[in-house]
Amino acid sequence: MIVAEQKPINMILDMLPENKRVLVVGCDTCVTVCLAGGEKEVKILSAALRMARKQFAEVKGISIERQCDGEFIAEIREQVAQSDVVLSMACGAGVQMMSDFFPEKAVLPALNTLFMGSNEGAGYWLERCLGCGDCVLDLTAGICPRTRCSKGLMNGPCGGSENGKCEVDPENLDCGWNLIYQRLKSLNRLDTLMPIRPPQDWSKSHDGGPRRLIREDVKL
Amino acid sequence: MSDSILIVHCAEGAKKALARMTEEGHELPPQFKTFELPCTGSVNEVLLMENLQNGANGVVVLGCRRENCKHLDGNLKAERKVARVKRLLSEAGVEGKFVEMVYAAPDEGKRLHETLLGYLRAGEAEDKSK
Repeated sequence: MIVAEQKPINMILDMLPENKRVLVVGCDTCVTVCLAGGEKEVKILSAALRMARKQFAEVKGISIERQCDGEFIAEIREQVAQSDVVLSMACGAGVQMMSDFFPEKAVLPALNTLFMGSNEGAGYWLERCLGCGDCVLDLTAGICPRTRCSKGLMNGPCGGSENGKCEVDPENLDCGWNLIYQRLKSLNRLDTLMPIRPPQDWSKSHDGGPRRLIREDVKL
Repeated sequence: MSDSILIVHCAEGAKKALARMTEEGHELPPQFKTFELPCTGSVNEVLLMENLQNGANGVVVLGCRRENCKHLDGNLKAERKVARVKRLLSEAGVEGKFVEMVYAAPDEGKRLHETLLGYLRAGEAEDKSK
């Protein structure tokens, strides 16, 4: 899922124009799971805005299934029409989709989008994927070296790996390459580490503008 | 107007402390309303924020004594929620509203009464200073 966190409320207040009708829009998918922008967070933020130092003509809250999907955004046309400003509690993709959908409205972000990751426990999310466009998880026992190694190395750990921990944060951060090695060893597949891997082909990552995925088989 | 303080209390130690307070003759003024939860661990930020938004001047989350929660750590979970709401109120510059975590054992009726009245007096003093 996409992991995000709420901006400090004073930053949100600075963004919002005074005496306007504000519509706080939550997103019920990724950011609900990471407790940043779902229905509950919409209620909390809306209540805070209604009591805040800055005055607004009106603060309403609503949440939709996905803000990165026009089908769901269309459901709130009426509410958006009755507001002056939309405060989106979605990831960056959702905010941009809302902005495209309602070009006549100011759509503002209430969250900072952080990474694609997993829920590791109560209140703990970990980055798992960079979206590099060139997946090597088949070679690394399902552990991504680009994400889990702090340096994104492709051919084993650096000298900063000690006791299975990364020098970047020896208390809390596992060495990604140690994880890869241990898992490949348990799978009796250490031979997959023998070939030297070429450097990452970043042309498949964030290169040449926004990445697009077009599937002819799905096109109408 | 400091005319409404909601006490969200658990059904265990805090409830008994409130009962003890009354038994000892320490009545709470009518400005106080109470709301019972099985454990303060189930309190959430929406409950706290929406009660403040809907007119309560303050919300006191009243749980068992630290390390005496019947559900082990419900009161400590509540404390973290209260801390988040406090931070939100502070960052949003909300004036005249508060949220507090209070712990009470069943034999602390008098102390609890004094603590709760303290919040009422603080609110009244703030009103007068305006």
